[in-house]
Amino acid sequence: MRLNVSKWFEEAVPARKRVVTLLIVVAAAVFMLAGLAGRIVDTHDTFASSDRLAAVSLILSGVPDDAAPVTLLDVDDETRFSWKAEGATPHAALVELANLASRNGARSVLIDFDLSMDTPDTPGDPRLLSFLGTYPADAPLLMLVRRIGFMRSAGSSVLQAASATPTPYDAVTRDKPNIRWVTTLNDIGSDRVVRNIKMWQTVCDGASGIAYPSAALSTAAQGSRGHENSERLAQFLNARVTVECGAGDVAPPPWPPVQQQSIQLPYVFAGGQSASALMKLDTPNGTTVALRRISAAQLVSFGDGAAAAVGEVDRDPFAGRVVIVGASYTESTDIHETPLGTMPGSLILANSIVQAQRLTAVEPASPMLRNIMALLLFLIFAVFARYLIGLAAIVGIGLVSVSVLVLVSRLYGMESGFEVVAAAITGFSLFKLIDAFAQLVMDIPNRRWRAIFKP
Amino acid sequence: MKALLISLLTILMMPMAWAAAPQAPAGYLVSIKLAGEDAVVKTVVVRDGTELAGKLMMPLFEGDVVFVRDPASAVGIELGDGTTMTLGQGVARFEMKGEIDTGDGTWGILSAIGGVFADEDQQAPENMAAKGASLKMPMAVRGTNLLSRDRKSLWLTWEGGKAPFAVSLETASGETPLLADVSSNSAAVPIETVKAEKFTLIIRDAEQQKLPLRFRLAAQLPAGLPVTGSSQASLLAAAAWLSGHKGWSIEAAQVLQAAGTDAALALRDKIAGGWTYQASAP
Repeated sequence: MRLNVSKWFEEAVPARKRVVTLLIVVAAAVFMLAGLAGRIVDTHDTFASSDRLAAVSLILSGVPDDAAPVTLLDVDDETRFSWKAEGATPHAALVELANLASRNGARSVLIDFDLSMDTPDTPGDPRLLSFLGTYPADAPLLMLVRRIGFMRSAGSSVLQAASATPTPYDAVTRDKPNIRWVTTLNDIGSDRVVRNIKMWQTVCDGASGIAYPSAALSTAAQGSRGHENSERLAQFLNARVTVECGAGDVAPPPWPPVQQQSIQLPYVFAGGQSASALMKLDTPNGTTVALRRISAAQLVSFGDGAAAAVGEVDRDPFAGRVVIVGASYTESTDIHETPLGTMPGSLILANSIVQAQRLTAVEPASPMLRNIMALLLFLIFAVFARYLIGLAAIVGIGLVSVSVLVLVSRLYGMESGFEVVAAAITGFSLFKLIDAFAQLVMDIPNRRWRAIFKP
Repeated sequence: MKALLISLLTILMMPMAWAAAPQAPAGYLVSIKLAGEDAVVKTVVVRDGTELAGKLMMPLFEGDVVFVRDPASAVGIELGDGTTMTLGQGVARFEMKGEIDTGDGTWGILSAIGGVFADEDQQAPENMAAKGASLKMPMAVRGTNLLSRDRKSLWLTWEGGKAPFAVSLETASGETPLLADVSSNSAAVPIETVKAEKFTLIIRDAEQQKLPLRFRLAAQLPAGLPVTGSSQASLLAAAAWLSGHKGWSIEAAQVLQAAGTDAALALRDKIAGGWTYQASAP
């Protein structure tokens, strides 16, 4: 009897396996017909997206200790409604916001609005002209955005900076060392996603020209304590003009340590309105948040051509912080896709400024070190694949990839992190492909063409 | 081997626990309107037993008490969760608790990671033409697309989604259908009935994916048109130049669609795919 039961069980096992397989096939077919299969595949694609991986890595990385706290005075839709603004945002209101920031101990102030006019002979706003003309020498660094025009070179698909659009404010800012024109150009990818920013932009005029720093490079030049150090920035920008405008070769200046024009931006802030304050920082003035985003209408009112502070404003949003007077209102059209979702250009700027030191100081890993790290990671993947079941191996490889991305990005910058992980994953995929092919070749002598089927 | 794997994972996951946790503010004073005795004394915050004058955007920490003496005063506080409360009327005192959600606590990090994998439509602010899972229009911007005032019909083309498509005009009371059962991914949308200077069109596919597009009828084209004349070369150059101005790509496509020549339609298709003439500072 016992023998019979045992025999029956042995015979029944393959039959039960077939039943289970049949049930799985039926369930999968039902999911497929119900449209759930697409959802599941979409979810898998979402996880596999490199941008998603980058976003998770960025969230885990947080902000570095030497981050520059940023305040965004946001000209949003509510502000435009409150100011009854149509067309260009009233410059008088921008002046009042910048004035509030500079009076209250801001580390620097950036007016992220295009100040060029439709026609070159259009006069500037008298309040802004007056503000810039009387800007005190001991006031914090004031950054204004220069609009740069691009043209395609003959026989090349690469766009070249061709001109810096003049503004009515050029004359009054010419001899003010603490007013600096900067570029806010993003390096938009072919899929329209902003992953990189330009650290400077040179506009050549013959063998000479002007190199405009980005707001991030300008902030980095101040050092982590926020002290102005325009000499080293000027030295670097002059060197770029010499090299890029063809006047000759010059030895790279010692600062900044990283001299890449296009740098991958390690985003910290997402674009959602609820993300009003992210990440805490310890500063000499106490604990603060890396980003404060304040609707401009909460601070400044505008009517009948005049702007005024709504009331007595605390120093906290300004003292020791880089203050961006920027826009996110719908008609600004300055809204971009990023690894952390859609966000206005002013928030991309905030992301670049808060990480300015990291962007310019963290030197990438040497090729040899990158290869060694990639090889080690590849070996870890191989161990996972050898000892874990499929699903556990995939989850493990995902977690290890994110962790290594965080670690290497912190130590050697984001690009090095991506290169290490990408190389390891590519190597692992190749390993699996060769492994499967070798298995097939070894099976052919015994199983012939049936070797393509699972045993 | 199992122990080795577990140790390895533990070491590699350590960065997740790196987030430091100093005390952040519990909220901010975001509006101050003082009346009666408050307007004279001006103090509205008690911190460590000391009365402080309230200032706009002043950070408030756990244990701070915000108060008003006069019911006609109104002091707005932005709380840690982003909501706002106002003292005055029936509420005279409020003690601050906790700290604002800075996103670097364990739950904040987990929530942010969850947000990364959440549906893209939910992440995109509603005032932007959301990219959607697959229905998209590369030539449209996520803010307002600009058109010349004399447009009576709008040639639009999009990518993704599942036919049949429908195009409607968003109104205060809902949506007014303009086109239905569009079997291809392009259509000439009649807009002569649209009276508003600003309007929103919504393209919807068979699976109810939605692509909102905001438009504004502009009084004039951007200044500085580099070419004049009615030759085909001038028209192509003008359209290309127009596509280089933010928000004008759809208008550039209309110009080329109306021209109808092979060269114009080729450039139209390139613009429809997201090509623009030049990049420029925002």
